[in-house]
Amino acid sequence: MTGTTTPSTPAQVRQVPAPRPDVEEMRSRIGVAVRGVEYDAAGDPILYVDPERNVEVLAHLKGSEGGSYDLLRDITGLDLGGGHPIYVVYDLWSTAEGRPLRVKAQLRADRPRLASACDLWRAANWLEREVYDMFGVTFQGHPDLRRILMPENYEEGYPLQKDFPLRGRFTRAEQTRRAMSMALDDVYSMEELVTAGSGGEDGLPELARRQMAQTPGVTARAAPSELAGAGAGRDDDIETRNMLINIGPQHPATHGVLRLVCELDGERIVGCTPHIGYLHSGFEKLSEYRTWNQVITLTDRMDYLAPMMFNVGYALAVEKLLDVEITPRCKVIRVICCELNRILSHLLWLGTTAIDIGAFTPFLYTYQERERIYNLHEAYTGARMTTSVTRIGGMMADVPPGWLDGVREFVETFPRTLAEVDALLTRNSIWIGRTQGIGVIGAEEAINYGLCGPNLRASGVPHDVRRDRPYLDYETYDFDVPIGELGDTYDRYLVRMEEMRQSIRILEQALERVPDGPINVADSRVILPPKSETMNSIDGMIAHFKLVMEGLKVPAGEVWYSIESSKGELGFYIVADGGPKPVRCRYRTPSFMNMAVLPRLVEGELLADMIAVNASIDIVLGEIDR
Amino acid sequence: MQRHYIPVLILFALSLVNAVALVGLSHLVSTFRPTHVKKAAYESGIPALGDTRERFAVNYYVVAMLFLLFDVEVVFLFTWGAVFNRVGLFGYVAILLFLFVLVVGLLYEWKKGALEWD
Amino acid sequence: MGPLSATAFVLISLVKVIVVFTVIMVVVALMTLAERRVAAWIQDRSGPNRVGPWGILQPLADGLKNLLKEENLPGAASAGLFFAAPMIAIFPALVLFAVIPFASPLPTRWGLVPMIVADIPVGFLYIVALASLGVYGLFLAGWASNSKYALLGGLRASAQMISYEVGLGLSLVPILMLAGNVSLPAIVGQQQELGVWYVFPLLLAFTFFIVSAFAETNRLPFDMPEAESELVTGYHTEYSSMKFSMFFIAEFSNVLTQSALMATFFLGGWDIPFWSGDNMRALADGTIVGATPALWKTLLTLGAFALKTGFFVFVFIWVRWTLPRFRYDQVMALGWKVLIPLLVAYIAIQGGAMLGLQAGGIDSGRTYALALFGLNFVLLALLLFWLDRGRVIRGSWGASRRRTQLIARAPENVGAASEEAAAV
Repeated sequence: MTGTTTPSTPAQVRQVPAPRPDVEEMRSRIGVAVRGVEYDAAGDPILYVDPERNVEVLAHLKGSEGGSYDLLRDITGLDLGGGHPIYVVYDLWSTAEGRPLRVKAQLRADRPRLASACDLWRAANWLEREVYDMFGVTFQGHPDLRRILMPENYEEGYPLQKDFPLRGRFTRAEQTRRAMSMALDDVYSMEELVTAGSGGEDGLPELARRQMAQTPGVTARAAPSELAGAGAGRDDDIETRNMLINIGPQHPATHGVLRLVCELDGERIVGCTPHIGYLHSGFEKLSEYRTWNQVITLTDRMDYLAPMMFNVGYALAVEKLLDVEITPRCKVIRVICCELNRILSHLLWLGTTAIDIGAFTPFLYTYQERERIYNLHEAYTGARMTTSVTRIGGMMADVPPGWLDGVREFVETFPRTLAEVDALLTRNSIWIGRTQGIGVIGAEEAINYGLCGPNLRASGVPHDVRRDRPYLDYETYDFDVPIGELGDTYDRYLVRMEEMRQSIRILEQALERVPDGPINVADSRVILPPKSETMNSIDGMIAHFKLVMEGLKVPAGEVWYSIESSKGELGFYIVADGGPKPVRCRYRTPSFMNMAVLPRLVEGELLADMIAVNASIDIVLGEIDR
Repeated sequence: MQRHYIPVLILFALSLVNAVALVGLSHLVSTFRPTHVKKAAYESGIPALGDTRERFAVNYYVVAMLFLLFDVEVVFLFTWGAVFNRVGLFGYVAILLFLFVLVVGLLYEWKKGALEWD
Repeated sequence: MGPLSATAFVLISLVKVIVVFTVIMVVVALMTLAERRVAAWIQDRSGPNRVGPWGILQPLADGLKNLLKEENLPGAASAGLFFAAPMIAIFPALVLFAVIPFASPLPTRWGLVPMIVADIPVGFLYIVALASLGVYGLFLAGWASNSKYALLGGLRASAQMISYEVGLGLSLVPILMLAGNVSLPAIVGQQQELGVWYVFPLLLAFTFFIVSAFAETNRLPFDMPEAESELVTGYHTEYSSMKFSMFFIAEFSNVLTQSALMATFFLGGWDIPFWSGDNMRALADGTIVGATPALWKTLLTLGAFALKTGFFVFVFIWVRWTLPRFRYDQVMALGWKVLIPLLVAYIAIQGGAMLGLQAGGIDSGRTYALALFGLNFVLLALLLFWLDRGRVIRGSWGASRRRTQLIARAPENVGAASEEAAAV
């Protein structure tokens, strides 16, 4: 199958840390449901819980006074193959205390099932669907357990299980045939078919009717007036029906191949169901078949709007696992890359949001600035979009001469354009009318939905990984974290505008302090030794040979490492077994979490508002679908 | 004065011929090779579900009625406006009363929620 | 110079119709180019500049392309209406120009030729009546396509256009009150006589008219029927080839007509300011009052008219590439809850003021006009700086000064947490 060998213990403790008193205390409070505690490569605690009582433990963790772990960052699976159990991994974060906690439940591989955490966190909804989709874990009590990234009628199995072959189980011809089929029940969920047939079964196409007949407990809704809430509460007796309309995948305002099936009463949105997965490339599966450095080329294809951030985040996570300390120069260059890309991504968001609200011109202003950043990309990496700029232990190369001057020039001139767009929009009364009070979500609910990044901060939660768990020495930079007050579309706009200004501040400081020295670590475990050494010393030659032939090897262990990407908290859950390839690469992408909240934000709003709200949460489909 | 309508008729004819010619010419010149997908109504590349021509909540149907009302009002105002200088104060007061009645009607509709979305 | 003979009248009319029609079509074609070039200029890019010098032949290339493009007919569409809709849309847009005077009368050897296609006495009503027909084309296009986006676009178009028609009509009433006539040449003549263009004594009516005209032509910020970010392209989603571009021809000729109307109603039509050489009026019997007509005067006034119209066309384009789009319910609220009540009040106030001035003995001339201008100016200032706040569009006042709160980077507990992590 693969070159991967089965690890003896998945979360092998490498440096035995002193047990943390708070974790031990927590463990004693929760009691027997916790089977064990471990610490990962970053020193974060992992609780192993009784799978029968997972929700009990999670509820306790969420509700415990003081150090409440209120933010559900991730739910994912871990299959080690070879008859080993499947794990479901919950990653929690305490916004008050600013620290993470991981909870693992061990399930039987043949029939994995677990109680759903949807009642505790709305964020669990999509995350559990993904685990079900990828690992086949059934979550009991989940309100809507359907496939999410794979097509609903996907029959080849559960792709992230270790014994699932990389290219699928069916023949290529069969896969193509299925992909081309456009039967209604392939593209609509049962619920939508029912809605469309709300006037009885007559209105439904033959295929849909047949499909419905086969599904027990589903009938076409009979009374349209009840369904429509009598024309949304008007006191007339004219019966109207709700219209089901597809926004996307081929639509100018969905920012990629996103499909939103909306139920409309007039132009008011009664319900909205995002259908995602059109851009699913199986990056998590693919990563298990690539060497550690090869995975970098996959990462920048996820958030192609801020590729360098993904590169940096992945490299940092693996370096944490390797316990490698990168050079000071590399750190500063990475900060420059990250902040440039934050601006790059926010500019795209700004331009497209403006277009979605009807203002075309800011789009071209922001694109001109983006072109300048792309030019800097090109000058550094040779690629404009898929940069693959980092390597484990350093960068692909040191920056070319003059590049920093280019960045400096951008930093000096960019604020002028930003001020121009700001003048066009921020106080524009049409803009205000279209954004204020639309898509409001409060702080508590935002946390419950697992929102992240600027969206969370717009709701008034000051959670920024750069501030709460600094990486790349962000604690030494002087910058502010903007937060909004209401959590509406306007706040999300203001927060991102301010973030760009703060990024400029960080860039200015970073440019001042770029130290001289090597860009890569002098560690022949991870970075090729210099040519002189390779040619002249036997050690160097062996290191070179091994790195080229086998790739670098990462000691067994796991880590959940996150950075603040432009879209929000970008987490990497990486499990290694000491081999040249990852056992599991989980990309917890912020857009996925932000997308899941859309139906809640747009319910009851008008169609045009849905477009504005969808634009304001800043999604990138490559990241959602992975 | 009747003869001044002749050019209007000529223009009508010309516009009509032009409209028909544009559609007709392109119909003759262009090709249409229909396929199943091409003939489907566009709904973001997904086969549409449900009928378009259902009874569908148009929350502004009241507006159509209001429009009738106010369009008639505008016609009255046109005639008054054209002779404003001749009818003087009497005409002004009369039209004020007329406007008052209409505004009361509009306010009534407003309060009843005919101008709201819900 | 006497009136034209019957034969001469018909022949000259025919020539005028054909020339005006051709000019409109060419100007509309050039407007599509102008829109793209102005947009490019606003957006700091080049725009189409490859076909012919400065891209001047671009409209021709586009027209040819549209003619040859594959014509699509959705299977579920009502074919008859589907074909008829673009024709219905384009027809009123092209005939509206008939009653707009575009230059001073031209003396010819057959008699005095008024520079207007049809000098009908009810020009005003003609415009109001025909302008409202355009909505049928849009609505039928949306309905006939049998596609959901198109249907929503068509519904929006009909609701919006009929709503703003009332506003458009009401904002013209003050002009009638001032001019006392419903013929457009007479309105131009009145402005020359008054010595002040109507934009000053009727400043508020002008403001309302511009807003209504934007809404009537479905131009941004009122382009609800084709709002591409939500409805793809709205009512013409299913259209292709020439039928598709006919909707654009209709839209642009509507823009042209509305611009010409603004120029005529409020900027004195073909009048050249500060010059009495063009102050002439042709009477029905072919005689002329005022200055002597001449060919060069006709050309000069035609230039003045084109300049004014062109200015408004530019404003249309300028606004489109500057502002965001309203939401549908905001557009309707603006029409019904703001425009119509304000216009009714304005008509009452303006009428009262005019009667009051007349009672005071001032009933014509510059003083009269300037007094009305003062009133309008005050009313406009009140409207913009007091009445408008937060009412036209939700939330545009009060909360508009919202700022993000800035939080300093490092809170106290993070230092502790990282120390703890370091200890681990």
